[in-house]
Amino acid sequence: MRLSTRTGIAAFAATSVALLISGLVFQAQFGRVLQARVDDQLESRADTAPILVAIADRLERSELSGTVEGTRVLADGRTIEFGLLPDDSLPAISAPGWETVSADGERWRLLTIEVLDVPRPGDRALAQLAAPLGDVDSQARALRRRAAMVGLLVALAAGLGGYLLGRIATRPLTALRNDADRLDDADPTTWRVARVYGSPEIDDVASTLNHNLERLADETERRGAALGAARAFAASAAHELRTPLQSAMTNLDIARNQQVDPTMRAEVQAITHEQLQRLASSLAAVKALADAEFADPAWFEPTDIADLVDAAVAGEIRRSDVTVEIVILPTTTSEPINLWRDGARLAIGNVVRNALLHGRPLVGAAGHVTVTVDGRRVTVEDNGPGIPLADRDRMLRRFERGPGGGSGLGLAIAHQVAVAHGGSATITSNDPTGTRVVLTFAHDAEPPLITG
Amino acid sequence: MAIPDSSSSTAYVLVTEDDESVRVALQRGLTLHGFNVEAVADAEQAIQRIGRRRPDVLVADVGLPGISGIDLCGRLRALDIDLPILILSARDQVTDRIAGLAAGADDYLVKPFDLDELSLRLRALLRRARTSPHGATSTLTAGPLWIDIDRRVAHVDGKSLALSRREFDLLATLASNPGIVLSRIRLLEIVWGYDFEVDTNVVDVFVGYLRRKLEALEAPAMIETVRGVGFVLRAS
Repeated sequence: MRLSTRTGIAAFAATSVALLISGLVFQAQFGRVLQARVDDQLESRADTAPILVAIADRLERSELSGTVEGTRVLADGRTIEFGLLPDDSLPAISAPGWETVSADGERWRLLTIEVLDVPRPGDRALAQLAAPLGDVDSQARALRRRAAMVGLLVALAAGLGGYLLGRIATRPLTALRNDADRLDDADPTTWRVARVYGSPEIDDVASTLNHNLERLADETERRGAALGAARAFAASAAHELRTPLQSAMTNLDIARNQQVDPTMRAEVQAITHEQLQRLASSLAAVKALADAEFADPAWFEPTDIADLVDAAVAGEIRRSDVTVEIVILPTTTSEPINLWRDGARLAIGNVVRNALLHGRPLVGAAGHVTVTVDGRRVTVEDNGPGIPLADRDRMLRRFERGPGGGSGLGLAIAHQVAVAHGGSATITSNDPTGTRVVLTFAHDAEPPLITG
Repeated sequence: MAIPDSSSSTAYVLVTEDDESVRVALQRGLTLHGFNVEAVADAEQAIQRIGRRRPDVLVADVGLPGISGIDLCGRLRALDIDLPILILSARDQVTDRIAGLAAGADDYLVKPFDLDELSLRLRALLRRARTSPHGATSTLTAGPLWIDIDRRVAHVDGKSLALSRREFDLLATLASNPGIVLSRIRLLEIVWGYDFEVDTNVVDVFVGYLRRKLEALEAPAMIETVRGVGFVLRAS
């Protein structure tokens, strides 16, 4: 039911009840006033009672019925009636006092008076004076009818007034409703209701609605971006895995061929093995990248970053003749910091491995890599040929390979892990030659849901 | 293992593939299957080679650096070079493969694929390139459709229908069997020459292209899908 209809009905009902109660009170009071007037008349007739008793046995009712008010006299055990009385018999006269009885379909008011010493001393008689209440009752009825009719009209007018006032009062709400209805056709990410409707309560509702729409839009956008990232990731990953698989399959097909000589067969088998290794390392890298992309806050734990760097470097250095120096700056406290330990170790390891593989000087001097830990920042510097300025950002993107080959994922994983820590990876040039990669594990905050 | 057959032993295949290990493997493998193979790493080299000597069939990877395999198809067709093209795709996305066919390729294979499968399809494409799949009749009429097989032109209500080679062959095959339902397998056999079991939705894709082109010329819907069976062209 519409709010304005409700206010209309409420006004109608409240007015009706008020009018009914005041009408009933008024009518009761009016009835009492009219009846008191009849009682006054009966009392004024009381003086005539002894005369009527005295002449009662000589009166013929029919003679006086037109001129004398209705009266009954009980004397010597006999009841004499005369004047205007109902045709139905009235109850027997019993004791002095007031009575109201029904007879002939209307109410009668009776006053019974004791008359002593008439006509002879020692005589006792009762005189009952009667007056019909018909006029009084019909006046009360007429008043009731009129009051009811006026009351109904007033209540209807009150109801209509309530409805119209309700319409005006609920106008801001209706405007909000109309705006909200448009949500069905509008773009929920950009559509908002107005901020001001002219009523503080409605403005509050509108503000809450808008706030929730904004949250919905943010959530939709985040989900869309996450879904897009996941799709792009899956497509790239599939591409990356299918290529070595293709090479391995084709080489196996060649190896099966009867016409192939033993030298070539050995060669294609070696290539197959190499491609399967490439496939395996691509799989591991893709898994690591997926982990970094959708890092879980639960993976973060207090970690000694200097120990972590030491372990990551030790894991890479075995395979290399390049010298590696680890420098821990005084800014690095022994206080553990919150890190995703496996991710950070993999990230540091990848950067160090990159420096060991691709960071050797092309001629002359021996390769040298310095790993510096400065608080939450890990810097890896080499003395190799360096990476051209134009290629530096590209090298951080996934499936982008440098001239030295590789999976194209090592630095992308390092970057993604740093981003999962709310930090970043940057590539700059080292002085006087070489590459400097800085990994920043920014803060303890929870990683963002969507990264990169 | 397919035995090299003498009819295509001299067929010249140009492979365009950026991944070195796949390129070398395809060159060796297809050579063992009796093809005369050249392999290049990108589309620009491929265009240069084709300019010097026209291959009998081109195998092109979709994800080439610079000019993609799809763009390569488009450029060759724009130059009116009508050699059979088979697209290789390493991506899962259907759109990549469909885009290749829309750009004028004849078929596609998704990596990883079997060398025998590639060899069989190449041979079939070569056979179809040399012979017409249709009978002796040189012109066909089916409803508003008029086809000149020899001159490879088709008209709808007098309006010229621009079709790729494979689209033309498919339409001509359906039109020369009006009212007869042809299964996908039969169509692959007649139009693509695939007389072996093959897992591809290439027929559906090309039927889609034909319908769109006919619709663009406001022709009535003529090619119907018969569920579970195949396709039929209704002339009435």
